Amino acid sequence: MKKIVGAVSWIAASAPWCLTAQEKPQNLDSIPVLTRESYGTPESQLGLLQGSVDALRSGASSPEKLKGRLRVTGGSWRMDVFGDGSGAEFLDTAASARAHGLGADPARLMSVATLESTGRAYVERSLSRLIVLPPNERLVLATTARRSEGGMAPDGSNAYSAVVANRAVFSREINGIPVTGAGSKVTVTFLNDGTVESFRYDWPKYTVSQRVQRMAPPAEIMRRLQRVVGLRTQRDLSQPVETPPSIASITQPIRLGSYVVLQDLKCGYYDPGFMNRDAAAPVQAGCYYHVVETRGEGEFVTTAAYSGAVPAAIAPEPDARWPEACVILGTKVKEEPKGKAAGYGTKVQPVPPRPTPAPPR
Amino acid sequence: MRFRISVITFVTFVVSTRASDLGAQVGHSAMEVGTRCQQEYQNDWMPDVGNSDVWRRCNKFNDQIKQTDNLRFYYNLHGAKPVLEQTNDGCGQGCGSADSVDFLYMNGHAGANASTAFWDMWDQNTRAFSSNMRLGDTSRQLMVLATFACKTLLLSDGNANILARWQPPFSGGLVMATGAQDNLYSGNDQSATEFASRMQDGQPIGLSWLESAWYADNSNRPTFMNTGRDANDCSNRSQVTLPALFGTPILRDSAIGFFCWASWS
Repeated sequence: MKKIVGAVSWIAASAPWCLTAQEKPQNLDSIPVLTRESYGTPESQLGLLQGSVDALRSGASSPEKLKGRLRVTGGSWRMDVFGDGSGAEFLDTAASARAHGLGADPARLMSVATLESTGRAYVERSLSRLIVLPPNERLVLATTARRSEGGMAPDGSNAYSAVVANRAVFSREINGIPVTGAGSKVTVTFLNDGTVESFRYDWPKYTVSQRVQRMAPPAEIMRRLQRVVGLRTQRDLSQPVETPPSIASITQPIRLGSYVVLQDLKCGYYDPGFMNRDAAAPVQAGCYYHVVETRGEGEFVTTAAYSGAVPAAIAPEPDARWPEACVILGTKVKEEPKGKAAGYGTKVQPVPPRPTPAPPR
Repeated sequence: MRFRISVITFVTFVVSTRASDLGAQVGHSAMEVGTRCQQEYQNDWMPDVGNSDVWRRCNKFNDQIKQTDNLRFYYNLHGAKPVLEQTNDGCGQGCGSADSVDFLYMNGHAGANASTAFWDMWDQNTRAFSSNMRLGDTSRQLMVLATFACKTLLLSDGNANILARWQPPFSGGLVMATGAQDNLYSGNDQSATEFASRMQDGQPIGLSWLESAWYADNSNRPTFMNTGRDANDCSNRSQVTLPALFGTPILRDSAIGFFCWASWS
């Protein structure tokens, strides 16, 4: 295995910090730390949605405040606006119920290009007041996904397979730097007839702070990855590993140690998403990873899969809700209550019978 | 012991809680719920995924589901093989058996081969096998088995193998199993809260699983499987929600005319 020493470019890119949206940065040495700016209120964001999304214009209930979200419902749809309004999810249950009937042969999938253009068109038409892109940002296709169905009779007959929904996920680049993690994502899901089944976005408003982070060299990021994953897998991953010239986006597997493989790595700003972030925490440089470890042999091979992000700045700032940052900075992570052993300290009671189902209405 | 629910008079407790975070939830008869999870393993025979991810995920599921349902046990996987398999799956809630609850949530390591899906127990070199399971035929009669672990619902190796792995557990009357056709990544444990919350909102159980796991990480490959009398019935039953769960007819053995599944990939 080749050991590469010395610093190489962190992102295969960089130049002056302020670039036009289409320019690619090269040899980036430092990036400014971002902070999140409040959108105001979820009510104001809901108002924007109701003025933009056709389905929300009629039959909506009064907004209902729930824990961490504001909800309106219609005859067959539900719209949740999360937190301060930077995230939301729409689901049309009637469309979802039609998905099966519109199933398509997997060989006749909606192409990625069509899915991207259809998704972009929807975002521009219906969500442009929510998915705001300053001049230095651009919307980029992050991934696509398909929801498939299949089935068969117990004798193996009548087997079928169909794609029932198609999903486009967009993210954003800020001055050419991608945002990794669950934050800064817009997902639109289409049935095969083009109906929007659902959309969900997590689109915080970022502000450039006065603080600048110097980027760690790729070899250091790989060492951090080994350290973090070594802790998670409880394996010694201290041996030298291959460090590619650019680690902005690794898509080919790299062995981190015996039985432990890095599947992919994507570097940029790291935002874990509204479900996991501390809104007051800085948005800083990070590399999102997928790692798998295998144990066992023959017929009994178990795969353990890990995802997360390692800080990519030489001196990352504290973020109590970023476990890998806590490891790198030496901060203790809170322990969780464990499951007990069955039968110990448990008052054994008879299992109650299941209630009689209510008659259909 | 097998309960005949049709002849038992029982007061249905319909959830009527109106706490601030439950306001929009759709009422359903409270389920008996059990959780069995394992973070670390005897002599490290399986990996500890770190960050207390498993315990945190299971605590989050428990905290959410118990707002509307009866969480009867939260156990680890020490010595759990016989109470998950047909050997002793009706031994009761004190021993954490699969058939002692309506809904069993599990998180740990798992896998699949040509003849069985398997769940790694805490005990070294011990696994519970789907081929040894018959779920839903004793005690409370399990209806939903939800497993956050890799590859329990592997689909890529042919229909014969899928049947070999899953016909035995479904033959007891199990309504739905959720899992993954490939990997589910430990890391974003918020999906456990979201899974329970979506179900409580009245979304289909299968869709709740697919969406909560996929949004947690777009590389996750969540999958669910259910049975039906025929293909149409299977499709209809794939939309089962918590409010409709107890009214879902139980299909056992020869009454099962179709297996169906759905997955993000």
